[in-house]
Amino acid sequence: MNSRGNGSALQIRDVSKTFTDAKGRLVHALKDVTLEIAHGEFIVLLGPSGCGKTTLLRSIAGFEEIDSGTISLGQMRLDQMAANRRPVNTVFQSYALFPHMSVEENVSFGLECEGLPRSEIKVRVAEMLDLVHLTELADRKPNQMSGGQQQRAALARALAKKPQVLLLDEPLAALDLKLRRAMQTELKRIHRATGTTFLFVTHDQNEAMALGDRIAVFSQGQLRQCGTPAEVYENPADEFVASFIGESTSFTGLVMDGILKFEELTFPIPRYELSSVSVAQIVVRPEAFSFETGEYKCGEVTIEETTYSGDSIEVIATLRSGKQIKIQSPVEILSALKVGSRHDLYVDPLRVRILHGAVADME
Amino acid sequence: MRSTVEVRRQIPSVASIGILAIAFLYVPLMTVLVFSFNRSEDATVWGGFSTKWYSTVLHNSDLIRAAKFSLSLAVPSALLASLFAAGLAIGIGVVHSRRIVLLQMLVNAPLILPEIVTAVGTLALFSAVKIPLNFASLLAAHVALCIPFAFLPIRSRLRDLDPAIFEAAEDLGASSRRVMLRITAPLIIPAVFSAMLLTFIISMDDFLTSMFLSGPSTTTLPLYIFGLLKLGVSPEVNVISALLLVIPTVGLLLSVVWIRKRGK
Repeated sequence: MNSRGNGSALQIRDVSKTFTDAKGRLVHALKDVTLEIAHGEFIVLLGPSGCGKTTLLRSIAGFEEIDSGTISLGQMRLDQMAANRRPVNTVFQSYALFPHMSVEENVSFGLECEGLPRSEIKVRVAEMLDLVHLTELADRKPNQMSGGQQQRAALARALAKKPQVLLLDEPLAALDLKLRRAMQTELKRIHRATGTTFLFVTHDQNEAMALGDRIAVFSQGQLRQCGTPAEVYENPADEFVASFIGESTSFTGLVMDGILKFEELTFPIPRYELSSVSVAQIVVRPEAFSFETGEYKCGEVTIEETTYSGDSIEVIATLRSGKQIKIQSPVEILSALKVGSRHDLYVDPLRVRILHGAVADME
Repeated sequence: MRSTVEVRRQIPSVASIGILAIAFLYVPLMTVLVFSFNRSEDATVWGGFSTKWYSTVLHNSDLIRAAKFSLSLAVPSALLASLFAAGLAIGIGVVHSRRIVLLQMLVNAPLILPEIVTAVGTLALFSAVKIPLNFASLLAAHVALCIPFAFLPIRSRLRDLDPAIFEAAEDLGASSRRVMLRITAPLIIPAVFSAMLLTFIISMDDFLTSMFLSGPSTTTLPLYIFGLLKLGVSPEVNVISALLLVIPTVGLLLSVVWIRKRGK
């Protein structure tokens, strides 16, 4: 069961799951989800609550039965297997440490289930406690430890089994911001040290960006996009991904000769080859806009609100129709950005993104 | 929202009601304790301090027999009822949401039903199917009486536990047997002990069910005390009551201390 070196990819094929909610309505928790996760990868499932990411994690762990599709690990079909036989282990959001056992007993529990000899268990537990820096607290009960320490214990307990895939269900959600940052760094270190595949569920996009080799974005039971943090941020597959990861404003309009018109604004879209007339939806990140000359001039906007945030200013500007645009600007020009004043708006042409799914050829 | 100052101003009057309630509860108990040390032949007139009725009681063989019988009934009643209740509470945990409410109501209903209904019903059932009234049938009735009481603490303990604990155990490779032995059982043991204590006292104290279902050879302590009263209030009754007050109280306090220690 050693995961190092001989691990195989986790394949999720056409997985669907429906359930009936409290009001008797049919809910698609997962809809034809297909995802392949390479051995040793750190993948983050990201999405708002109820998007299906936790259901997928629980289906891999074996706590939920899927309606159709397959989940396999190399040649091994997981979805037909009992939860206690799957070579994957979970770190729970609530940590779920056994309250009547010490840290050491918690970590050895899974190894005792395997029937390993005492001496080997002792060695492996010591190794794991060392990995998560809990050696000194081995005799503590869970309620004598801080949240961060319980988190480490839960991690050690799951990793002690040397799982092929470690499933982490929003494990940092209960920690305060500072501790969460520290644990993110810890998790990356432990990921590197063990070489295990990590599948991490979160609703926090910053956490996803910080941790994931790849991010799989979910919404309403569907996988919207899967890619590296940079891919997902720079080239969002649809409006949902664009708005969920980072801030952005979307514009839909007619494209003619590489120029998209939206109300009184125009946008250059040279990076994409479109037929002479078509409708397109574009998204622009706040930092791609600017109030300074030199780039492409879109048109004029009215400043509606400015928020000072230390290293930049978040601006909300409006068009005549009332459409709001989010803009990020350097702090130096704060004094010029009076509410109600009108300013020229510029955009970096290389950072205007066409959403793949939204291009409609009218010919 | 009322300010704390305003609420505090009302505390003296609220507190006096509380003191009255406590007095209401404990004055009769104190009376029985005091009168158990009465020298007088008359149970209700004070005639000076004496422990002579204690020695009378402890030498009353009928009384000792009744007390022993009650103990021999209460111990297995408490054990069996708590065992059944633990099974019930664990079983109910795996039932899906809406049916849980119905099941819980079914288990809890006897708590609010008049005991006399259950007692009459049990007697009717026993005579209909010709079950003789002996120790076994009385034990069965006591177990049935105790199950709902035993269920309460165990169920509430299980409900307070994070359900992810059981998933975690399974996730780590534990069979359902191992989950039961290593996780569920140790975690509910304090609650099972509370259930045993509670049901032990309920069985020891029970009058109605025993009254309806006792045969010639099955006189429980409460039935014996009731029999004594028929001959007039004997000072012995005060002594027995005092003992019944002090022994379980001390036992209860000790066990609460023990459970607190374990539960942590």
